[in-house]
Amino acid sequence: MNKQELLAELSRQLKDGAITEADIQEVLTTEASSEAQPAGNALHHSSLLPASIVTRLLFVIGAIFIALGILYLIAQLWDDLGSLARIAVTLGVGMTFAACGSWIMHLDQDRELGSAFHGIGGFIIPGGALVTLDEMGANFDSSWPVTLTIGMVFGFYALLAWYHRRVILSFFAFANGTAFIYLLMDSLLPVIYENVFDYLTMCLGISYILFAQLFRDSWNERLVPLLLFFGAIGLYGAAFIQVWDSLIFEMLYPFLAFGGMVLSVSVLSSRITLTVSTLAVIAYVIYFTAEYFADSIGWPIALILLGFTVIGIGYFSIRLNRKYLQS
Amino acid sequence: MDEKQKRGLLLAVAFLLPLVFVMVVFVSTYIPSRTLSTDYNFVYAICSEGRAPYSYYCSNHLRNLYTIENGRLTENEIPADLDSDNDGVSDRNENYRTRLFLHNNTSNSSEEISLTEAQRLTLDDRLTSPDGVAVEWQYTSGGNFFPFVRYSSNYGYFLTQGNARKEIDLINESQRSYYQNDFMFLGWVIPQ
Repeated sequence: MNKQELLAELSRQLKDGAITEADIQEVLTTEASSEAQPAGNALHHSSLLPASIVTRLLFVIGAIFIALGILYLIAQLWDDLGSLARIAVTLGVGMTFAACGSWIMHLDQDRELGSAFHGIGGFIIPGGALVTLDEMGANFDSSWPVTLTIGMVFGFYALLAWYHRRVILSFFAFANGTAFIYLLMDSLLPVIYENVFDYLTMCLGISYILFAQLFRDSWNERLVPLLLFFGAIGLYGAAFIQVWDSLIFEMLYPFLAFGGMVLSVSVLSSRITLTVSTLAVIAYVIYFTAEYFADSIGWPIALILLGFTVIGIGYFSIRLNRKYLQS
Repeated sequence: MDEKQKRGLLLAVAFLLPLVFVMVVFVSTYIPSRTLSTDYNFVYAICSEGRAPYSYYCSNHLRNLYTIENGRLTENEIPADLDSDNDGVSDRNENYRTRLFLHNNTSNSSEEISLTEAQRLTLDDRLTSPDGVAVEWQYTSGGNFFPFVRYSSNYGYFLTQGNARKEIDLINESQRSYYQNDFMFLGWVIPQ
């Protein structure tokens, strides 16, 4: 591949979002530091903490300060503001940050800065949309107005993520999409039915894990650990709640938990899901011992057996990790 | 199936799984609730006036006061010394005021009627109407779910048939809190 082809390919990958400027910056930084070290120079600062990470960190800290400052300012002025002003300082400010973020991303000069702007906007816009709803005199007897509003925010971020192909936008699409699904369930059901929200959490957990698989080696790669963690926590946590009340779940849970350990090493190749599913197995063993053995063999003996079992499960999990996931 | 098709399938399943679940729950609960109806209206009594609406023993007074005999509502004489809530004050001096209502299931609304009007109606005091629908108090606190804690609950009187239930709007419902004791179902109105 000659220089022209190489640059053309690089340009194409940048356009697709498969490679970001941060990735290129990281490669350049690594190359620079590896060249500097053999020459016997003093250890360059960037070899300890690459410039791109420092920049990113500063953007994140700056974004948090700005968001907190805006929220504090709005809270101070809130009672003195009219409806339009309240909408302007919440939704208006959020949309302005989002517009600036998109503009910067569009210019393609500094995409990380664009992400910082979108990060601030993403925390303000959902609240701003709800303030707008309230100021417009929406009737909150039903949860439908909130559901539709959050649904629109989800649609907004899904479109932005699709257009810009940036992780920060996918993050907000997932956050708002998840809230939308819960609200949709709440709005659709005429009365509250027990456990349906737990079942929904399980579905969302599975959905998160599937999305994590889908996002591997893509521009959403950085979301994968987050999705795997919350997906596994949602799935096993919500299923464990059912174990107390449902015989079916009591019987299925160990298969689900052990199955999770197997899938973690064979399909997902994920230490995160392996850890969570190991914790799920341990939680089930504790539940089972307390429920069926503590009264017959007594708590002291049960605790000793429990301790050995937990150590055994932990050892098994570490072995699986070393054998299949260490590389 | 090539890699692109696999990813497409994975995307569809990941995206649609929660939505399909919500839709399945909706179809299996909402539609039976919407279609649940009965051809029979019912008469009920409340006794919340003069006392807090969540008076625990108000319904005892109602049970003593009203009975259905041969399909007709009868108002009984309350003995002078009867103290159904054992608070040291006789029922006559409790300042209870009872009111009667006819609930129209088609419009889901209640209309106050006099004792004379109620006594003109033929009432069936069985729990279920002739077409198999019941009026039941239900309290559900299923609002908490992993990993969130939501302290909302759902309570009130419902028309029920099997698993289907439909909330009914009764007079004084908003003040009833989650106690149901100021209400007495008297009977289904049987058309003449």
